[in-house]
Amino acid sequence: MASVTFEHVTKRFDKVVAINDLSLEIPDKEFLVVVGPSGCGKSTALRLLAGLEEITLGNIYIGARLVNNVAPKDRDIAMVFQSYALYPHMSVYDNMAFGLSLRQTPKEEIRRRVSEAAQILGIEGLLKRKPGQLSGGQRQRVALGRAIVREPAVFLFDEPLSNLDAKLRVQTRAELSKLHLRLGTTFIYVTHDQVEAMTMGTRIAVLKDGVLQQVGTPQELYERPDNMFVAGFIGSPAMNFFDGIVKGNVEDMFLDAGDFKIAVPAEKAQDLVAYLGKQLIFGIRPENIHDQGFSPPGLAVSPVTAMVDVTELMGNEIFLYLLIGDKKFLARVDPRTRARPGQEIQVVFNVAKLHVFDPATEMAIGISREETTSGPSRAALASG
Amino acid sequence: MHEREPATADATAVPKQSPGAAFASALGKKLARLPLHLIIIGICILWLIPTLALFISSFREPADISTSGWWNAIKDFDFTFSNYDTVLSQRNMGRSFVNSLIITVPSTVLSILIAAFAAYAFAWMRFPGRNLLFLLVVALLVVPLQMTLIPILNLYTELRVDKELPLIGGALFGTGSFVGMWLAHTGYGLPFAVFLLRNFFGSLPKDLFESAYLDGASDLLVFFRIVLPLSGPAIAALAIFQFLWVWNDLLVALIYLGDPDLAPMTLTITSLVTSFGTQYQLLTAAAFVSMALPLAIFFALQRYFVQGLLAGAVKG
Amino acid sequence: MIGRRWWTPWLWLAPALAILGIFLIYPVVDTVRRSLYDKTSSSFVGLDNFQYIIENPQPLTSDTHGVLLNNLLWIIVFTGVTVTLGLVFAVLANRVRYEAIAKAIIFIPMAISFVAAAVIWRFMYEFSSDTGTVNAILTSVGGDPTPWLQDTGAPQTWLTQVGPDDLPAPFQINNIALILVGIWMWSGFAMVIMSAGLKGIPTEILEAARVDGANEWQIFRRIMIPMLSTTIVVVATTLVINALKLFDLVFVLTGGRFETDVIATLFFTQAFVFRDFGVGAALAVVLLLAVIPVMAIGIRRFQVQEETR
Repeated sequence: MASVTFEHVTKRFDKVVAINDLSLEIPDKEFLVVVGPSGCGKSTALRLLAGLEEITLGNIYIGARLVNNVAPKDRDIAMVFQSYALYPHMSVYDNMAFGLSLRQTPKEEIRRRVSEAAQILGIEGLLKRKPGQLSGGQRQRVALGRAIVREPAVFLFDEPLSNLDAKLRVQTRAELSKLHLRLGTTFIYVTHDQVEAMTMGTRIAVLKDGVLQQVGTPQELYERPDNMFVAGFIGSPAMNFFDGIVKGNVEDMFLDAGDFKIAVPAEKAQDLVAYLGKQLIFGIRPENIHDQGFSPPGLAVSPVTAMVDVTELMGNEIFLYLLIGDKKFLARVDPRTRARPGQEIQVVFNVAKLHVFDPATEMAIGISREETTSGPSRAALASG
Repeated sequence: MHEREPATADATAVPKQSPGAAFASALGKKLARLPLHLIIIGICILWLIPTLALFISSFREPADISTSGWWNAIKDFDFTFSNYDTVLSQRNMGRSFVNSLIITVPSTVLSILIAAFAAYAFAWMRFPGRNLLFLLVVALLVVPLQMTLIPILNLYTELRVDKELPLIGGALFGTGSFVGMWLAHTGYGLPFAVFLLRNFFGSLPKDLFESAYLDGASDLLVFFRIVLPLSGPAIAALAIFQFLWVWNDLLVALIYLGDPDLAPMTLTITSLVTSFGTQYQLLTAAAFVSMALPLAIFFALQRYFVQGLLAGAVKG
Repeated sequence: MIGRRWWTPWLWLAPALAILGIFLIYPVVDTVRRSLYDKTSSSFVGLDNFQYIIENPQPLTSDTHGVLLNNLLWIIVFTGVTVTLGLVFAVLANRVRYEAIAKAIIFIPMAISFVAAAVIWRFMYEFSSDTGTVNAILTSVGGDPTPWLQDTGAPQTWLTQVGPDDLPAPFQINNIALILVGIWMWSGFAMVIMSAGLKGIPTEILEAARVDGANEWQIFRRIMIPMLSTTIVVVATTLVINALKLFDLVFVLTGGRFETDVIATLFFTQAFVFRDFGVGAALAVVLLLAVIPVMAIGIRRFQVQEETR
């Protein structure tokens, strides 16, 4: 059981910088999900931690131990690979026992650990089979089992669910969360799927082009994204972005988006005073745009007229693809709405949930940060 | 909401044909393919004729062979085993069969082992100059055998150690030694072997190795417990290839061995050819005797042969 | 991988590198050295041997220019026909159920030794139409028997009287006869590799083409061949290298006589029969130089493949 610390880690492959000055503290027992689009460096970060790649600059600590030059097998970690990496010519039992047998663990101990892990994962009946005879879901469990028997200090997961079908994925997500609680070990989990990130992680780290964008709890990332990338990446369907100029004064501020105007609530007006007259980028999530006739009571809203382009019936809600002027918006509205394609509709924006971004830096304006991105300091960890 | 139409009862039913019509259409399809079959079978027969000619001739009397073609033999049905009798009872036929084995088996094993170690390093270890060195090894494929004969012969003559080896015979090293043959054949076979195995090893999934390293396996362990077991087809193919090549070799034995007691079958049969000269009937039997083992091996294992050749040669 | 000592890879490579160094690299170096020395390799003569080959003042056992042309003929005809046959047969065999047997039959010649093959074809090419298979077939359709391995006349004369009796070297009947043996032996190899490549083409692509209205010939020409281009290059490269290294076939069937000599056989005769190591070595060096561009193509292809690894 150990914490993990990335300290100004940079990784270069020839000319390409895969990881750029990454600093991240992961306390013991946390379930950290590292998420980002393809090529953002999340798998590289994991592999650096595992020792499968060498660090160019910086340090990595597992617990209080510097592991830069420690061989993978001595780092006390276990990894679940995206394609499971099961040894095709060995039985499930041998696959799970392999690591232990290499360390000369006594046979009895091996048997105990393997059957315990098999029981947790529900694969006791498969121990004699070979990987080729198993289904995808079963293979994934064997890969998990192989990691569990090692009883490592840290578990690493490299997109373990991406090869499963949708239904199995949902099921396994819940099981992984349960497993984490049961084992009480640090989980570091890499994925490109932000839904997995939101549902499983205690904290999420968003990476883009090798740079850490933000780290925080799912709630924090959802409600207070630090920049446009995080805002657009977290949450599905994605946030709507549009340009607007801030006008008016502190008491009576509004944003002029050309085709429509939105009132700015008092709390936000404070932060935006400095930007009066300037063009900014605004964001509003689809779930915060409502059909005027069915919007929840008590919201601070600003009405807008829109043209409906496409409707998608989702059952418990309706997705409206709207055109306001020439700007496109997606709104998730109450299923009772009367909106039809080609018709006009009155929608309201929940301005309390309006996000503002500086176009030059793409950073959010007016966020009150309660946490630094690096979490509690390493000094605090070492002494604590 | 929507009106559901009752699904048609038998959406996939094929309209029924009368049995006569069905038979005619099946026959028609088969006939359309007739040219294809004719061509293929034709080519196969064409390819077999040379070998068949030899085979049949080997069972004919000397008088018949010099006067009429082998096709007459089928008509006249006049066969004899006397040719094989003569050839096989040559003084050293048995001994040279054993010699062939002594030369071929260790050469095959040695070349595969050494090539496998090198191939693993090329495929899965990172070191400076790796690609360049591998290209150099592959480039050596172009060196013609004859070019190495004189230098190595000189080397072997100088380094000859006369001590007789127990059991298998021959000198300890140098000309007239089995050890010299093993090393030479290994050398000649290495470029192809390393090329084939390296491509095959490289095609194994990367995360299999990473998982093993993480589990604590050393390179040696990964090699013997993961790579080799999974490389069965490639190694089998290589073994067959190398075995056939060494078994059928004439030139290397001719130049480096010298001692008739140590001669493999190819050498013995060639000397028969020169001493029999125009006695074709014996020639044919002799040739077939030398072909027997390779053909047997080939037929028994051709599945692996083909499979393995592909594993190394064709990618993607 | 972290934790692996720097000298580990070299340890694994050592035996292979040592053996290759002794048995392949050292001879090449030694041969290059000898090509710059005289017959007995005792005094330095610079490029004299090469000049000898180029000028060819007194023909050696064979005329060096003729020898080079023979190799060229092999490269073009042998490679071209073998690749084509291999491809065609792979495509045809792919469509029948007895594919495995058919392929095995075509492949058999590769399993037998050159000596055996030589005996087989010595038999086939016998002059007498009573005993020689090819001549027997020829006479049965009204032609005259031909001494296949000795005749240096123009190739088409075995069939008709049309055209010249003699074409410039290397276009000789006996060269063609030898090349036929080579084709017989190596088509199986080409076919096996093409067949594998063929099976790598997803059937959906072929089905889509059929639905689009393409007939079999169009599919063959415009889909299969382009998709097999890498395979074809691999096979062709191997065959060209073999055409350049060619020795056993020619040596056993004709000994290089009757103007069928190739570089490797001439080298052998010069070096081992006449004990002229200088010119022999120079010939070998010429062979090496000829092979280098072929290797360069193969290597470049290989590097392209590497990018995708």
